[in-house]
Amino acid sequence: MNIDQEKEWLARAPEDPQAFKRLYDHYFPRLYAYVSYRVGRVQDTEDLVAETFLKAIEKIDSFEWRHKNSFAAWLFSIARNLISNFRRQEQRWETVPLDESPNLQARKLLPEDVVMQKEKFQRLRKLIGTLTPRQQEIITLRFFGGLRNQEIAEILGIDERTVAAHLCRGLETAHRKYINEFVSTEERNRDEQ
Amino acid sequence: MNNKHELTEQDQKLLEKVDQILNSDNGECEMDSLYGFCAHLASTVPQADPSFRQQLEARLVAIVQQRKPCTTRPQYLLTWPRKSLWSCRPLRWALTGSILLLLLMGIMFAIPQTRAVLAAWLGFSFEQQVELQPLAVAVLDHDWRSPLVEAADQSFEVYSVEFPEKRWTLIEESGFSTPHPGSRVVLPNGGDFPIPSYLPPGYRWQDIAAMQGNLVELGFPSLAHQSWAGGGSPMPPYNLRVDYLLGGDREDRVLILAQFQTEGQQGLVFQAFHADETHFGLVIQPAEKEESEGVVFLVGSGDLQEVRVNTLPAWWYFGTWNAAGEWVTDNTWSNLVWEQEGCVYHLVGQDLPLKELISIATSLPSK
Repeated sequence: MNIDQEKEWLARAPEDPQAFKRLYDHYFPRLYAYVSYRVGRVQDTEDLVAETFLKAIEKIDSFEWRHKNSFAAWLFSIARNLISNFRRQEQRWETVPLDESPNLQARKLLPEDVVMQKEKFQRLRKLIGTLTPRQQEIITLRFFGGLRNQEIAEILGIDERTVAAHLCRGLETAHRKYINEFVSTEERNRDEQ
Repeated sequence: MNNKHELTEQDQKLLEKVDQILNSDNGECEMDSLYGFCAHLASTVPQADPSFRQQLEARLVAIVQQRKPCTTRPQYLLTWPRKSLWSCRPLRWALTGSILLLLLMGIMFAIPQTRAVLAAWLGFSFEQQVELQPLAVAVLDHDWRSPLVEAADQSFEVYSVEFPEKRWTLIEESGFSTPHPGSRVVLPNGGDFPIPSYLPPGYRWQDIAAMQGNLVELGFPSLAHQSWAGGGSPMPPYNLRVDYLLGGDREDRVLILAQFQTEGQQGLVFQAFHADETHFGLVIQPAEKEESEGVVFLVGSGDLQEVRVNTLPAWWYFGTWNAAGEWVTDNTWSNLVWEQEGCVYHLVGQDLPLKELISIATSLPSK
């Protein structure tokens, strides 16, 4: 979807269901993935995603274009605020039971069983949860929300270079921990077998 | 690196790789490498239950459809400029500035004191005012009971003017036009009235009450036969024109300048009265002495001092006739009478010293 298309759909969305559906189809998977990593539980994710879109519809007339990707930043800002409120109530990074975790997309993955996919999600989510709050936010917005550094900078109110630096440090830390905790464990398990 | 947010070459390469991973499906890397980890992360995307996605979509579309009938054209028109024209910052400032300017001008036009100044600044003027809005009313209203009522053998006529009590409020809030100090106001009866350019602090000229022209042309016909006097000799024919300039301050204290225009010997005597705070006028009687000339004022006992208005002789005294027909000698009513350019002027004010009366009198614009 290019910027002109998005502007056209956005202008028509308040009164044109088809235009709104196009925006919904474009942003739903990204928003869902981002919210999933932030809250973990499927039920909570669904509630927050639904609430985000409802607020977006309610406030769509007040949206103003500032740059070409500002609608994505605006939409994810709504989600981020809702997640902040939610987590303020929860007060912790909750470990979610497997049966309440989301499924993963089958993209570039071998056809593994559902449990394995959910374990993978939990492992990565737990890993991200060990990072600083800002690194967690930036990595989830970048990798699962599909936002660019410029859009993330706008949402967080910080410089784009700062976003890039946090992203690099966060990925390096997460990778290091991943190697230490999970890969090493898998190698040990293989050796034992 | 001094700054913790400085990016190294390795960071730049990582960022490019992340872009590449997220923009394509090139995620096949070894997990023990950083790039491989990024690819692994990017491929671990949670997926919604399709039924939830569809239900939410149906719910949202229903909301949009519900909004559709309400989203009438005016709402569209409101939306359009906000997202295009209104988003242009210079235009937004210009529109905001214009609205504020118009608002300010509207306020200035609404305030009588600033209206003329603003109009002059904008290069136009208001229409020329021929007739003032009538603040003073009830000309020739005979509801004041003169002490002469009981005098069955005397002739007299009463000329009275009634005006609103809250004149200042009417002018300030309702925008009544007022005579401009220093000007000459053309009267409906053909004459004009010089408006003194000086006013005591806090005072303002408020209105002019003019005798009706047709009565003047008819020689101000006698009303004695229908007056409360109940008889007496008819009034002698006379030609008199009396006009009143009404002024006051915020406390609605009265300042009145009466202009008498009479031709030759009239043989008349005038009693200026103030029946109450909003009611004043004249009782006109035939003069008892044949030698009376011009305008003769009948006043009660008290000091009558001769003073000067410019170089002209004038008379200053305190007091007035009241509603009961009694002469009130307190110092509330201060009177100044003088003749200038063929007219007799009677200036009376409440609680005004002689100095102020003289200043007003000397500021009459000459013909």
